[in-house]
Amino acid sequence: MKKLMSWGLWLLGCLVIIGAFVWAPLAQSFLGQSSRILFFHVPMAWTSFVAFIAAGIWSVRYLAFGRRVADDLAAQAAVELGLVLCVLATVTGAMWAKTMWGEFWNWDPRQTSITFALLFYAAYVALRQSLPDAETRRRLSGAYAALGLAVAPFLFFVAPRIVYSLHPQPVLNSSGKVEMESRMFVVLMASLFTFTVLFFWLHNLYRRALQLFEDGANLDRATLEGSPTERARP
Amino acid sequence: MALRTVWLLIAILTLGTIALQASGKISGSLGWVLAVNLVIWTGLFYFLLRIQSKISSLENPS
Repeated sequence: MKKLMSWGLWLLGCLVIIGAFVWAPLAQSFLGQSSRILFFHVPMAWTSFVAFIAAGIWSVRYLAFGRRVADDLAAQAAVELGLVLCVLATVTGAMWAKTMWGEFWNWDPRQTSITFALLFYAAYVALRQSLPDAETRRRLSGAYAALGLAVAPFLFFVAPRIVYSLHPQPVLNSSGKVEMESRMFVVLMASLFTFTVLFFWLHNLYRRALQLFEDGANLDRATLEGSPTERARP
Repeated sequence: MALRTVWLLIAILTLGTIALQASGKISGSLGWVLAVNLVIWTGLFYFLLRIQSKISSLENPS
């Protein structure tokens, strides 16, 4: 059943890619093929937001319900994966900005707010690295990620709307209507679903790997990467 | 999943894209971008399956 679901995800991913490049039409008022980046850029930004919120929820669970190490590791895995997705969203956004606005970086409200989100969660990683005592590290980083439950929605949804932005209207805009061609909308929704499922799969794997490291199991990074364990040892 | 299956999938996807190009449904450069995307996605999927099986075997050593 698990294998069938994995193959289903692969098939859905292929359909999203084919849909994005062949089936969906180009958006009006976008230069060349640049609108096709929408099907990857928006889901990456959305999934990074989901990751940061999930990290906050796991941190609250850790702090309030029994201080289970598994919850702390789940939060750590979510933040680190969210950071990777956030960087990818920023890079794809900058590529699109170069085509449409002539510059990779314009300090547009959305670009500025995502930079603050990156800095905020990079500080989480730095905080974890800087605390040698495991209990203190879990407690403080848990509180920091829980604070992210208020910061992330503000940076992703509120801050970009406070001032005028050149960024295209989001899918759910201020008028409450979905102003998008139906085929584009279908591909975008499928892409959002695929990226979200892919994130939770990646998170599951990363959390389990962190747990193995935590337990002091006989795990070597070299083994995980596929090379013999002995080679990594002197 | 054997590596052979992945190569087979990549071959099918690449040939499918070339067929789409030949039929004129997509332009040449877009076809290559599509093919590269499909190959990267299949490679990533295979890598994740391998990581999953390795983690499972480390969790349940027998």
